[in-house]
Formats: sequence, C-alpha cells, structure tokens
Amino acid sequence: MAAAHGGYTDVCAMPNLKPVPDSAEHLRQELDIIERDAVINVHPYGSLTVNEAGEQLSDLEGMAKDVIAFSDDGRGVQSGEMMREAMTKAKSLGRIVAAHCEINELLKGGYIHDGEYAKAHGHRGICSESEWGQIKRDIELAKETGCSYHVCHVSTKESVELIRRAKKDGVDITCETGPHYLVFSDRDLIEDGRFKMNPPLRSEDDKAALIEGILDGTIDMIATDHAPHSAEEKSKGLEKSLMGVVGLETAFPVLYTKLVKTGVLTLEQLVELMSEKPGKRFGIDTQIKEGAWANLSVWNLNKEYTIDPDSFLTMGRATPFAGISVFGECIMTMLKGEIKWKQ
Amino acid sequence: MPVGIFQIRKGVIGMKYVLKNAFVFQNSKIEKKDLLISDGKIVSIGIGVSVSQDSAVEVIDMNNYFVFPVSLMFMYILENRVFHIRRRSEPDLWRRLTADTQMYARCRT
Repeated sequence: MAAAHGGYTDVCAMPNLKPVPDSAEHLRQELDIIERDAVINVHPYGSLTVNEAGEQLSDLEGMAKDVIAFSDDGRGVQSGEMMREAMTKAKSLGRIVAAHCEINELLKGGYIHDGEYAKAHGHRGICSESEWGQIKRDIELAKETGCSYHVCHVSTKESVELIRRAKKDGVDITCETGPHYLVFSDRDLIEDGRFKMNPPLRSEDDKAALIEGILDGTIDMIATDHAPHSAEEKSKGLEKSLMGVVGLETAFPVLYTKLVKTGVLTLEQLVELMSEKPGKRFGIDTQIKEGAWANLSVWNLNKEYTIDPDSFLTMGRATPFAGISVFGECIMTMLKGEIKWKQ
Repeated sequence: MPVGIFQIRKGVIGMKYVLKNAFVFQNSKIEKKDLLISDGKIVSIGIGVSVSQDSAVEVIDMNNYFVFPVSLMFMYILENRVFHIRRRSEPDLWRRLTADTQMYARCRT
C-alpha cells in the first residue's frame, strides 16, 4: 500500500530476505507471501549466490522463469571469478545481473562517505573506490560475457564516468541513482540515522556528476533503494544505526520539487526516468496507450506540503527528507483499473 | 517478459471510468486529454472522449491533475513477514523485534 501511496504499482523486491531466494524452493516462500499480501505487482529478484554469501552460485536456472533479474543487493560479489560465472549463466538465461558494487576490503569499518564531514567529526569513512573499483571490474566482465548488466544506486563521480565510457564502448549496461544522492551531499549530514544509507551521501562534486549523468543519459533511471527499518534501528546516530532509508512515498515529490521546479529536468524527463526507462530495461510495459492495462497514478502538482514521516504507510520512518517542503501529491493510483490508493 | 504469475491477474470487470480534464503523459509528451477505462484497460484516449450513451460510466473530473504511467520501483526491500507486524495496531509486538527481524535488518548493513 505504501508503494501505491507513492504512485507505484510495480515494485521489484530485492533478495536480501530470510531465507534468501537462492533456489526455487526458497523463492517459493517469498512468492507465497507476495501472492498472499501484495496489493500491487511485486516482481522478485533471485540472488546471484547462495545466501548472498558470494561463494557458490545460486540455482539461477531454477529461478529464472519467476524472477525479474538476479542480484546480491546489499552485498558486492567479491570474487571476480564468481561474478564471471554468474554473468555467464545469467546471459544464457536472458536475465539481467543487477549489482550492488562494494569492495569489502576497502570499507575498513566505514559508515559514511570518506569526506570532509567524516574527517571533521571523527567518523570512519567509506571511500569512493569501494564502489567504482567493483564497477570497473564488472564492466570488463559484462564486456567479456555479453551479460546485461545494471549497476544499482550509483553514488560517485568515478562510477558515472566509467559507465559513460562503457556505454560508448557498446557494453550492455544501465544504472540508476537515488533521490537522496541527487539532493544531498555529505555537507548536509547531521548526527542522525536517517542520513545513513549504503552507499553513503557523497561529496558535492559527486552530486554534480550524478546530475550531469542524468542529463546526458549515462544514468538511466532513478530508484530509492527503499529500506523500511524500524525507528529503533535508525535511532542510533550515524555510527550505530542500520544502513538504509525509506523512499517510496517521497521519491516523486522530492524529485519534482528539487529537479523539475528548479529547471534541472523537464517533467517529461522525470517521468521517463521513473517509469519508461526502467520499464523498458526490466521488460515491464508502463506506457499509457489504448489497449493497455490502466496502470497509472494521478498527481496534484500544485499541492505543497511538508514531508511528515508519520503520514507514511510504509513501516519505516527514517528519511533524510523529513521536514522538507515539497510539491506534488499522489491523488490516486490505479492498477488494472482498480483504484489502489485514493486521497 | 519475465513477469507474469506474480502480477495482479485480473482487471476490474464491469467498471468504467472516464478521467476527464487530465494532463496525460503519453509518448514522451504531456497533453490535456480524457481517458476511458473499461474492464481494467484503457479503451480510449483523446480530447472529449464520448460516453454520453453509457450511464454506467463514472466520470471523474481530474481538474487538471497529471496522469502518469506507473512508476516502477526496481530497488525495493520487501516489507516481509516480520514487517507485517502492524506498528500502530500492535505496538508491543512491533517493539519486541524478533531475532528474525534483526537478522533481516543486518543484511542491510
């Protein structure tokens, strides 16, 4: 319901669950929950490796017909050999590999960006290379295997440049970033768990590169990496809170207010980034056209309000956008002609 | 198309709506149009969609609101069984985070 409140009728569920959907049997448990509880379309991912541990390939073949793509989201696949094996198999099955890129040995206990704020406040930082280093490796593997490769939540300027070059080289690669990386940088950090996510908020230069990447088409789409942690889990400041923030119910208003109303993007470009382009990449028809299912959302773009997490329908409340004034309220969300959410 | 069996399978049979006076995103353009929706599908899109002979049609004036194709969220952490505990209706249960919940949550660190 939270997704419908945010104007979404289709979500792709990442595999960081218990049990991890790494086999047809484990995936079945997730599917049962989806079939029982979902009020919108939920498309599950299968994990790349067993238990997302990066050591043994999951049963990709057994899950392929029931998943939208494969990913070890939340964990980077550390072994290049394992990633090569996964990409080769995914390619043979005609599925996308979506990667959370992170080199563990470069993390060194970090939990926010290794930038000015971390240095000034005595926090341990996460360096940019921990992300772009693995993207660089994976681009070579995607080139070698011919696998369709998608980079999740890009946050650094180096990542953008690597992906830009890979696209020019003809690699089958797409990527996304999140609203928080386009709006905030580590200059905006405060000692509050609602500003903690992985990858972390980066520098102003990184933010500028992400916007440039959006404008020149290097970045194909925008996703929130919605992670509904409890208040308790997010109440322990930057160091101790769990990683992740919610975003389903704020994504469109935030992006409309911060990027469209300020003239960075047109409204049409924003809709393409949130609907058409991801739909095309992941094989879901999102177009409004005669004969199509009536899957749509209705928005009052003149409505101005302050983001109040207590109004969210999602179980999580932690968002860096709390208290921000935005334009754009979802009036109605319709799935196959049925009104799923109405103001 | 990898998706299929997990989609909500049926449209709303027998329901007809006209969404009038909406700014509709179609083919990368936003234009003022009406949408006729019947049995869950978009039947007609255009200016002044005619429904005068059909009393079963519910006309909803969109009052210049914007109609967008659905957004697709392809990075979504499922609010799985442990998060189905109702925070408001079952606050005590919510506070007593189970070991399962914490293990799930640690996956995000």
